Amino acid sequence: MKPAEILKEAADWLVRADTDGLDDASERALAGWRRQSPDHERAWQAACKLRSMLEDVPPELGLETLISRYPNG
Amino acid sequence: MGSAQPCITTLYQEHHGWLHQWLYGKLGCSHSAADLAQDTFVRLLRRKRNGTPAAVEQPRAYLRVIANGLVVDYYRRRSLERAYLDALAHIPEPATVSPPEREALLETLDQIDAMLDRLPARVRRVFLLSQLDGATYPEIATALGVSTRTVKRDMKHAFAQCLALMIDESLTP
Repeated sequence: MKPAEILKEAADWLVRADTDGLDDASERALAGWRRQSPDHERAWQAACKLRSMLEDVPPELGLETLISRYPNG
Repeated sequence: MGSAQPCITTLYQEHHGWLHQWLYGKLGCSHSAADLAQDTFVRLLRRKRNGTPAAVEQPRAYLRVIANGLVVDYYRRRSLERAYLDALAHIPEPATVSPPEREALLETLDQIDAMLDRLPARVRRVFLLSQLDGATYPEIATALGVSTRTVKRDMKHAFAQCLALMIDESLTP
């Protein structure tokens, strides 16, 4: 599987977690997905790192700082 | 190739002078120019180690490409710091923020900003509303007047882009 495809699938998992949350069955499916190859696992590690990075940001201050940079966004 | 490859010391001696000048012309600050010139050589060294042939065959052009990327980052960081200070004018910083914590927060914001930099404006906004503001996808869809499906697609796009850049960076730290 191409690395770009793996990243898209990892992105899918993040979107699924955002929209429906991950129940036990999904968690198991995700664990299976991660075991497919070292690249899958690496992609998921990056996903977790991204999440924790975003969680560290004070919401209001972060949003204002980053959104004000792109006023037309 | 082998013996024709110049070592990094030779590269440094031959190219540091003009590179520093070139950076000084872009930045107007000798101190920052010296910092970025160092960073440029550090990156060249890394890429050379990773076996990027252009790094040794065309050192001058290659150094300029690296240095130019660093200049872009430098200005992006500066404008981010200004945006942060502007934001502080109407949103109080959490009272407990110590100077090192502030530095770490700016670093994190800088990383997020760099990852979102190449995304279309709406995608970026959708991502920030979701991941920083905690808005749900339907809430974002309503706020921006698009469908929830579009929000989902934007989020997938943004996540994939962020992951690609994070993994890229972990390969060439």
